[in-house]
Amino acid sequence: MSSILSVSQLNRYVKSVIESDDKLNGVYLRGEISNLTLHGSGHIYFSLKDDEQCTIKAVMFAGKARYLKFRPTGGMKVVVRGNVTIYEKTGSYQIIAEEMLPDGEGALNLAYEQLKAELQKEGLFDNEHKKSLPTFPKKIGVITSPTGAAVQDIFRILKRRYPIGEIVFCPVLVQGENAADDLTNAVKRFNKSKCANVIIIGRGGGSIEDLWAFNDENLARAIYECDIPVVSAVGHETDFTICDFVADVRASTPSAGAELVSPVTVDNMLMQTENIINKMSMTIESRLQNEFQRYERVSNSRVLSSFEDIINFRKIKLDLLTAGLKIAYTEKVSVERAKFAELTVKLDTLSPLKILSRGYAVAKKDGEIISSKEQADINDNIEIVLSDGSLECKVTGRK
Amino acid sequence: MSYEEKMDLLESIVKKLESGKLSLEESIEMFERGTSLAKECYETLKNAEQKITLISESEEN
Repeated sequence: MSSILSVSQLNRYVKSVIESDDKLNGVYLRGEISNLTLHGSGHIYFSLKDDEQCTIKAVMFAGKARYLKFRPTGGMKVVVRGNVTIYEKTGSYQIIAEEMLPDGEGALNLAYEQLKAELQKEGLFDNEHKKSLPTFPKKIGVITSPTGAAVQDIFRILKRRYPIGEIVFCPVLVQGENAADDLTNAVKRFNKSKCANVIIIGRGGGSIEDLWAFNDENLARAIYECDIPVVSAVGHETDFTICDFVADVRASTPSAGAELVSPVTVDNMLMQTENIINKMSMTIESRLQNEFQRYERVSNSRVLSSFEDIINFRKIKLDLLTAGLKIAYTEKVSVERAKFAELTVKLDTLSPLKILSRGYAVAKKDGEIISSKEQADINDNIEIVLSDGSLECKVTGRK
Repeated sequence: MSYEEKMDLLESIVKKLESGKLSLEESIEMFERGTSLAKECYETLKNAEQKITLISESEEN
């Protein structure tokens, strides 16, 4: 290093020294954000300072920044994991942040509030999107831990209130690293297979950390996209999670959730059935009563004072009708008969026999009537038909 | 017929009965039909035992 260096040579050298130092890679650094610039490209430029007013420049590139679960703001206390390096152009050293989390007490709360605000803005909590719960669900999906108190509460209440429904249970982890993914997948499985008419998702009470999986963004989106109505039943009355806001209905506890998905209990239904039977009985009884009264009214009226009168009246009416028919029929027949007689007389006067009886005769040859002398030769046999028979004759001459 | 279908039918029978538009014979027939349906529903409710299955079983169907 005895020769004279250019600035860029020095900067490049120092950069290589720093970057090759393992202690400066993967550093966790605590500090407060200042001089924040959210660049249009997605990169985040800021400084971190501590209580002693020492500062370091920091940058988080867009590729990492997009995975942030919160929106950094000036004055926010954070923990950054990153690698220390030098920006060659200015020779200033800085930390390139790979990850960043809100620091200290209320950090989770902050992340929660921010996610809640973001999803609300996106419309995931909108009332228009909320589905109503079925009155008589055939299948009730239950997403919770198989070991907690929640599952026992839910099963016990459904057994008492709604044993005619089938429980479709999806056991999941409700806290710890994989809980959010587990819960998200469970919702997706129900939505894909449609093997429930309503879903309860939840767990018993716990600290904000214990309930944290229910504040997961992917879970929220899965619930939002689920076609089956979802009841969120997480923790106690005072606990609110993102899951509660995005679900179609929020139940204060798992037990309350079980009650919400069984709005009409078996006892209600039994009562309803009894009511229907009573209603039908009353209706039919009053109907019969009415019919009886109507009968009595008719049979007590002055015109028809007894049942026999009704029968007799009908009989008379029938007789009259029959007689009327008979008369009409007879008349018709006699008219026809007279017409027929007249016709016969007419036909009779025109009959050839009548003419023959007056002394005329008909000549036939080979069964055919002949009317001219040319129709028969000498020695032909012809038949002469008279009124009472016929004569076989031989032609002996023509004139 | 499912429980819900039976109840729906029952309700329509009650409505018809109450409308008073049926003949007496039809009314009595409807009443008999209704009471036997109601009895079936009652039995279903009385004898119901909860079925619990795992989602993996339900998914296959």
